[in-house]
Amino acid sequence: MSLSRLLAYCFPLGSAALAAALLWAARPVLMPFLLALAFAYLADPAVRSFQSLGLRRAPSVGLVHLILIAAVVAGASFAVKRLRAETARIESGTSAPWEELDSSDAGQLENAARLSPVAEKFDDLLAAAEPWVLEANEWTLGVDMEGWRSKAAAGAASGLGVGVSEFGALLIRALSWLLLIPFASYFILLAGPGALDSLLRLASGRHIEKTLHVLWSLDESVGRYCRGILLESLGIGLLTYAGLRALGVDFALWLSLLSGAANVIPVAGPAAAAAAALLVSFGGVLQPGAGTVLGLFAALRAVDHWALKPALMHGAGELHPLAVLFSVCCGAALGGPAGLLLAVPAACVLRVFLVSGWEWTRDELGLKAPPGDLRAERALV
Amino acid sequence: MIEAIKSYFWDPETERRETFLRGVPLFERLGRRDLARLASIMTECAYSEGETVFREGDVGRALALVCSGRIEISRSLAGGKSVTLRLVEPGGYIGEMALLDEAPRSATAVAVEASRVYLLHKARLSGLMLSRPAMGMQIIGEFGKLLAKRFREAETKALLAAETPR
Repeated sequence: MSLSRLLAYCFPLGSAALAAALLWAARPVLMPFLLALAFAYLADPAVRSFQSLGLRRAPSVGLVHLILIAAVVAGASFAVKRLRAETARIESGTSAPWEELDSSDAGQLENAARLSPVAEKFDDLLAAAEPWVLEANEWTLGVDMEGWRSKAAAGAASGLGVGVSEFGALLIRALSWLLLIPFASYFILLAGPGALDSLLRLASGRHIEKTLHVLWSLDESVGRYCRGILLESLGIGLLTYAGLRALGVDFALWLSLLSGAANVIPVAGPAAAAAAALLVSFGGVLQPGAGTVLGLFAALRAVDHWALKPALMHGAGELHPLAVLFSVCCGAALGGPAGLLLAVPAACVLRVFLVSGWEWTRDELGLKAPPGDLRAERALV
Repeated sequence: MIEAIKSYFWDPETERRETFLRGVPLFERLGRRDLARLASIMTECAYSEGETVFREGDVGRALALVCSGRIEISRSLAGGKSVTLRLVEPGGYIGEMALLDEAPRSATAVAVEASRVYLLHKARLSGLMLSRPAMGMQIIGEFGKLLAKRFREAETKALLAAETPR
C-alpha cells in the first residue's frame, strides 16, 4: 500500500479518534448540548413546514422557538396551578379520616394494619431505586449527588449550612440550562442544512445518493421513533389524567406526568406507572378499587396499541418486540437510566447501519440485489 | 422599508424551487402548497465536470432533477465500449423508475459540465405521499400516464420492427 493511500485511510480515522477523545474529555459539559441537539432534531420538521410556506430559515427557527416556549410556559403554569390545588385538596380530604384512626373505628385501624406491609414494601422499593435516581441526577446535571448529599448532611449537623452553596450551584446550573438549551438549539437548527451540505461535499459523485440513502434511512427510523414516542407519551399522559380524574384518584396530575414520562421506556415504563397508580389507590382514602385502576391502565394500553402507535409510529424503528426487550435490558445494564432511554434509538441506529452497510457492500461487490422493497411498493400503490 | 422586511422574512429560493418543479411534467399538476412541500424534501447536490451521478448497476433510490448544467446518459456495450443515449438539459429528469422499484440503474449518468441536481429520495417522497394522499394520487396518476405512454411507444416500435421486411 502506497504512503498516500495509507494516509488517506489513516487521516479520517485519526481525526475521528481525536474528535471522540475530545468529546469524552468534554463530557461533563456535553449534556446540555446533546439535549439541544436532540431538541433541534425533533423541531426540524416544524421549521421545514414554516419554510415550505416561503419563510426563510432564521425567522422559521425563531417562530418555532417562540411557539414552543409559549407552550412550555402555558403548560408549566397550568401544571403548577393544578398541582397546588391537588395538594391542597388531598391535605384537606385526608387529614380528617386519618386523624380519626385513633378513635374507636376498628375498621379503619384494621385497614391501616393491612396497608402497613404495602407501605413498607413501597419504602423498600424507593430505597432500591435511590442509587438509580442519584445516577440519573449525576447523568443529567453532571453533579456528584452522593458527595453533595454528604456535604449537605455534614453542614446540617454542624449547623454551618455548608450544603447551601452547593445547592445554589446546582440551582444556577439547572437555570442556566433553561437558557443554554434553547440558545444552542437555535444555532444548531440554523446550521442544520449547512451541515448536511458539508457532509455531502465529503461524499463524491455516485456516493452522494448512497450517503443520502443512509441519512434518510436513519431519519426515517430514529426520527420517526423519537417524534412518535414523544407524541405518544403526550397522548398517554393526557388520557391517564382524564381517566384518573374521572375515577377520582388522588395525585391525578402527578401520576399522569409519571405515566407520560415512563411511556418513553418500553415495557418497564407503563408497568411502573400502573404500579404507582395502584399504590396510590391502595394507600389513599376514598379511592377507587385496584381492579378499576388496573382496568383503566389496561384500557390505556389497548388504546395505545390499536390507535396511538399505528397513527404516530408507522414504520418507526421497525424492531421486533423481542429486539426492543433485549435492547432495553442491554441499555439498563450498560448505561443505567440513560441507557434505558437511549436503548431503542441506539438499536434503531445499529439496525440502519448494519442494513445500509450490507447494502453498500453488496452494491460495491456487484452482488445480486433481492427483489424490490415490497412494503414500500404497497405503500406507493 | 416594506421590501427590506419582506426580503428578511421571505425566501426567494422556495419560489425558485416551486417554479422549477412546475416545469417538470411529473409534478406540473400539483398545487402551490404541494409543490412547496415537495421542494422542502429535495436535496440540492453539485457535481463537477466528469463526475459520475450514478453508475450502471447501482441500486437506484432517487429521482435526479437537473437544475443546471448537462448530464450525459450512457450505456456500456460488450467489449468495454459505451454508447451515449441522450443528454439531459436543465428541467429534465433521470432515474424516475427508482421511485417505483429499487432496481439497479440501467445506464450511467455523468456530468459533462459543472451541474446542480435536485435529488428526490424514494423514502422521503413515499413519506410525503402517505401524509398527503391526494398529492400522492396525483403523482401516481402522472407516473401511470408516463408508463402507459412508454408502453405504447415500445409496443409500436416492436410492431414496426416485426412488420419491417429483413
